[in-house]
Amino acid sequence: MYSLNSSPPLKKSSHRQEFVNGLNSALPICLGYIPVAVTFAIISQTQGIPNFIIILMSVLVFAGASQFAAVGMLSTGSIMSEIILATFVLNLRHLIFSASLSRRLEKDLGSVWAALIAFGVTDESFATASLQACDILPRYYLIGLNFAAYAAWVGGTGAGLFLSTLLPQLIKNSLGIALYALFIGLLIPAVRISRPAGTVMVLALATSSILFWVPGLNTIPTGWRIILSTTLTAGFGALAFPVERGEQL
Amino acid sequence: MKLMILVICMALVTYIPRMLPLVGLRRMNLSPRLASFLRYVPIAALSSLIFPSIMYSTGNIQSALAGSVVAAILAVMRLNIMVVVLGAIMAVLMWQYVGNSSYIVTGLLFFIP
Repeated sequence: MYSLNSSPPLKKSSHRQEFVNGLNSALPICLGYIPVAVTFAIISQTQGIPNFIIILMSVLVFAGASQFAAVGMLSTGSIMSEIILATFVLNLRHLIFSASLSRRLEKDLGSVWAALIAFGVTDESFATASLQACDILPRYYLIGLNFAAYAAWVGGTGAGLFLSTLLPQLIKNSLGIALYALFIGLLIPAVRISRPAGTVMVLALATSSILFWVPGLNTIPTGWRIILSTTLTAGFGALAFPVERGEQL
Repeated sequence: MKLMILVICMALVTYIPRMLPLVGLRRMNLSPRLASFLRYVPIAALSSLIFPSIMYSTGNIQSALAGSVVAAILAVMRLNIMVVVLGAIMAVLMWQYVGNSSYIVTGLLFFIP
């Protein structure tokens, strides 16, 4: 099923084929999501959160970092408005991701489809979809991709509720790199052929590091750090190397 | 009940920013500058998400570095994304298990077709 070489760009094909392409694209996401979701469920249980609420959070929110943050804040006795505000800030980057993705949808896509696809926008699904070589992303591809990722997240949370023993710490640590390796595997092929993209990447790595490590700036919460670094460096890219409509980066 | 309201509010503040641009911006004509900006967002966002967080993803900076390097090498070799992910996991696992870099090299050779 999987060749060792990078998969070819998506071709125009049947809905069914597009859906299957989406499922296949989600495979590395699932590999990363399942252990994180299992961990989320186990940690939430140890904080005394009812199983029903744990699974409901994965079903309705579907945003890993903010779910961990919420559980952490609940256990330290934060009030509800603080948790909701933190969730908002942590997930606000999806606003920019969705805006970027909106340019790649089929032109005749209805609002209901768009709203459905929007529910599945995560760092990982956005990364996978937006770095596909084709200009327009078929709706069934996006649905397949988001569906598989969502199923892994909710399924992993459910499985975690019934796993009384933890995965060995060694294995869990090793799986912690999975989603980042996915990002690297998506990013590098996209930047190696394009100087503007490479420049934006280097600047973004630098900006993110500065915001993370420089005293004074390192108090900026993660959500804002990602938003700031993304906006500044993508903005620089747009000013320094404008892209024509329909032109590849 | 209180927790349920919390989860529903969390869901709303997460879904609304995901939904508004996808539904609203879809067919809008944007200025070339804004359109260019949105084209660079994936690269800029991924880079910002990767670093420096990746260094803290395994609970050990050295093993995280080993995994990152292996992922980068496999990606430069244009291997399938699953190979990149599995290779990075194996690199971290081997580094933590053995605590010795020579095993990473062995692991890498395994992936070279």
